[in-house]
Amino acid sequence: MSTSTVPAAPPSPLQSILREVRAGAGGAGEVARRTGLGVDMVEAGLATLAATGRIRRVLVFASCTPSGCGGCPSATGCGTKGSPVSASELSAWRAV
Amino acid sequence: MRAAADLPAPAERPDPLPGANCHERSGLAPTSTSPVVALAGPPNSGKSTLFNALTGAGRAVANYPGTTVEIGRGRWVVPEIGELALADLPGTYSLNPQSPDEELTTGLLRGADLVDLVVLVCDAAHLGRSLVLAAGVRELPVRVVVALTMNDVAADRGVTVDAAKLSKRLGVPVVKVDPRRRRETGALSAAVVAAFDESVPAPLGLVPATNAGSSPSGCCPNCPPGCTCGMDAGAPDQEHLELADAEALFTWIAETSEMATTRTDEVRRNRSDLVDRWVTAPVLGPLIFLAVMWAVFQATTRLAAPLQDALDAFFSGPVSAAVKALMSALRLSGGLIESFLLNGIVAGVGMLLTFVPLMTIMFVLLALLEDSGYMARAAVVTDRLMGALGLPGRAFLPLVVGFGCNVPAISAVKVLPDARHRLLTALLVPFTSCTARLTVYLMVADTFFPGNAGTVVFAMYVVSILLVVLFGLLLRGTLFRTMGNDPLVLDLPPYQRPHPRVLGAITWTRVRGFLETAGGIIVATVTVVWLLGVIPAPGSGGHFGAVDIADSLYAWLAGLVSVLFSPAGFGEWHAVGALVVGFVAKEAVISSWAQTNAAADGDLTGLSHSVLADFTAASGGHPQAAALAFLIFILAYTPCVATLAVQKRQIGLRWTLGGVAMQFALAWLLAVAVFQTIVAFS
Repeated sequence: MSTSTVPAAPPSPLQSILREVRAGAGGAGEVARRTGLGVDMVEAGLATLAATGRIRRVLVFASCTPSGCGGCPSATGCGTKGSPVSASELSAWRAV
Repeated sequence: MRAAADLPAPAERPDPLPGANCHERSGLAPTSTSPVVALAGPPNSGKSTLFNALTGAGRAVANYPGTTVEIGRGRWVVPEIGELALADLPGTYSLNPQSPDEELTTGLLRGADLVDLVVLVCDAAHLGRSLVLAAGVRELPVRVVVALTMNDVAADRGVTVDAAKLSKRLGVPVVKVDPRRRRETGALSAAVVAAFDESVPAPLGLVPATNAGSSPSGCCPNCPPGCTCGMDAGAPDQEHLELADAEALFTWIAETSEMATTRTDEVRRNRSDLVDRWVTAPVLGPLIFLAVMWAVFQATTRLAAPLQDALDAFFSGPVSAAVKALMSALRLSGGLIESFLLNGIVAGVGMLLTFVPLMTIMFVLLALLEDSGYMARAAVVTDRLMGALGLPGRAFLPLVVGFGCNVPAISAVKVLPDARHRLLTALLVPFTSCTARLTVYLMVADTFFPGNAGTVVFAMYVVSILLVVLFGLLLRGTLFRTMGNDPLVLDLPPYQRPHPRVLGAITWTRVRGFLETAGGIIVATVTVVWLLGVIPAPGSGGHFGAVDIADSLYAWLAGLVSVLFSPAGFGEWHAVGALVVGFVAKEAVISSWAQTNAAADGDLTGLSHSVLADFTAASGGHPQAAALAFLIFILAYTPCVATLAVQKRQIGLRWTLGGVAMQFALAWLLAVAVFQTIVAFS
């Protein structure tokens, strides 16, 4: 007796993006190249996936920006001698 | 013309936030009668710039009542209405909060009694991403006007967003604005006035208004039985969007973006992506990073050399002469005070200050790399390297920060989610070569390897990276075997032309830190070294204040320790004394070295000659091998006491002391290995 198998449906764009997040792609551009989506759509997909709770946005580098020090990981070192400042923040998406 | 009091009264709604209710509109509005307009949008969408343009930069930043989150508040005067209370809410990508900041924004937007109208900032250059929040906000019973920013950036990429089409799709007014040039703010005001005249728009009906839902019971609709795509892994919180809703939302965003956007020039958009392909490539990326850093150190050493020489001449000439003249005038010549000022402050602190031009040039170059967006790409390269080695990807942050200063770098380990990640990274950070160590590298490299100082300094940074990697692998293979990885997708900022004002601010902050170190802790160590230098050593027969530095307590104590370093080729008291003092701060290595040589030689010049002579004698005629061993030791042993203090706070005393022992043992072994190997093959 043979058993029928359901052919695997191609992954949706969100599934493809999530897979790349779990693989640790370098940036949205790299995810776009791997998935064939536009960078803007990858960015939208990342924000949408975050809304599902599958991924999270984490701050990996913060700076002395006008927005304040609330989320800065260097907050306790900030203002100490030689403490670094940066021109921009660097955030990342990571799978939950 | 309408007055603020004529505006529609907000409806009664349940409390949106713990600690924030209808009585706390004052958290948003300067006066209780001002209609509240909230500026909401994704991070870096130009929201705060628009806020400043609308309020004339009249910004008051304060914590929102009951929270630790800061929001900006200001007055937006719209002639047709009067004064509006404008609140600059923390940036968020959606109404599903990821942080306390986003939670506040979400709570305030959901509370219609707190906000009378939302100006939703959408970034035309990242329209898809902006539409995630737009879709969520459009489900809420609140008036909305969309301010479309970054149109010039989008145009540079060959992208034009049709405001009318987008407005039709969203069902609310869309106004293009250019807050950086303060253009079209009048059009935004008019749209806001018109929106107040209209009733609250009906929701789009794309996603449930609360975004609340139960955890998905199965896999996503597209998946066959037994699918292992992982989309169902991990139960989302109640606040999160259902996956099916997310798929529908994404489809709507794609359609909306396609409908409202015209792409006139794909080539321009791809140019930035093309650059990223090169600079973040697995093999070429690290090579480009190394080449860039080599160029930075080359430029720094070559450009700074004449300036440093000039400052050296200034301190050893006019400054010393002025101190001598002053002492003579005060009839204090030859006394302890003159000795302290000349051999302590001028020699020690003065020598350190000669590095200011050099540090300034390097800080400017590094700031250029940061502000242009390149450093974020370097982070990608580092992240990939860490991941390939099985080290936690997010650890690259503290490690990158460590190349500036180890103290905030170790503080930054708290962003790591896992305690073992934090411990491992805190133990690795001291191997990152901070800028304080750079002064020693430069002085030694210039003395022993004239003409190749930049390359030697660059090599020290390469060794620093190797130490982090090798020590990380060693710990990973022994004490931290069970630790998992943490893959990331970095949110890379766009490349941009560096802004002189930002470069100036970054550079000044760092130079000021260097000057504060020179004026604070270095003055203290200089004082202690000077004091030990005027106390006679046991059995020397001298008197306090009248003893040769070589017969002082300082030289005697350093001599006791120097035996340890004979196998490394620099077992002589000047160098070893400087190393011991360097335990306080690495800048103190230079100051104490300069101090003791100035006291011995009687003048400030010729420090390089003295150091060269000392190393030649101590190494048995192999000064360059001893210099390299010395540099390796400087790199690998404890950075400073401040690092230990913050390390103790993060990982406890036991691991901190263990780390000190490991660093010292490794530093000594490497220094001896380097010296003995070079001598054996020379």
